[in-house]
Amino acid sequence: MLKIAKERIDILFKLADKEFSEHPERSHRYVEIARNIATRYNIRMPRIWRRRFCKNCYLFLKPGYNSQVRLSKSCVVIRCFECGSTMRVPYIKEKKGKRRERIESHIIKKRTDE
Amino acid sequence: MITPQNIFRHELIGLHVMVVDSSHAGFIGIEGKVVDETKNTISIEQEDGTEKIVPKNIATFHFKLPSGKIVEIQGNVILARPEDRIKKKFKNFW
Ligand SMILES: [Zn+2]
Repeated sequence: MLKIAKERIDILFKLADKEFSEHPERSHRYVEIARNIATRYNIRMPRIWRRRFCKNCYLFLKPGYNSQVRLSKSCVVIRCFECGSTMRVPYIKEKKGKRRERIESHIIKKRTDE
Repeated sequence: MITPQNIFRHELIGLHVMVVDSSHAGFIGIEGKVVDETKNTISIEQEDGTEKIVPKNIATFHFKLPSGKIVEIQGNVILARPEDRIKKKFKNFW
């Protein structure tokens, strides 16, 4: 049963992406239905679609048409042109992981040299 | 995957549909893509671009699945909100 709900959310977001250029009001409606399903059955939004709707006005976002994506201060900053709000998605964890990897490889190199 | 067994619980938006029977003669023969669904109605976009709103409880639909199969559904079986259909029990139908 939960599998069906996940599939339906996926279908709805794909359709919203396809319909946006001609009928934007339809894609906003599809996001509303997908959110209703997710809240009803307590499912997390799939990772790829989590950044594709506004957290303030819940409209569908298409980068380059009604939203802007920038990187600043270790955050992905997504600005909604419909209501003017911004969401911030931090990526500091990935950055720290990379740094740690670099230091560890450096230490291993030193030991092998000694 | 949408199969004839779980179409009652699955997504209807995006499928190709045809109205084959209705108590109101004007609805018979409407054909096209489902673009919206509410508790009591289905709105269908025809090929020339016009949208028609068909009530569920008086009509019989032929849904065409992505695999090519055609399923006949009586409208009063799917009489619920789109998010409520996932957990609805269809006892009297089977
Ligand atoms: Zn917004």
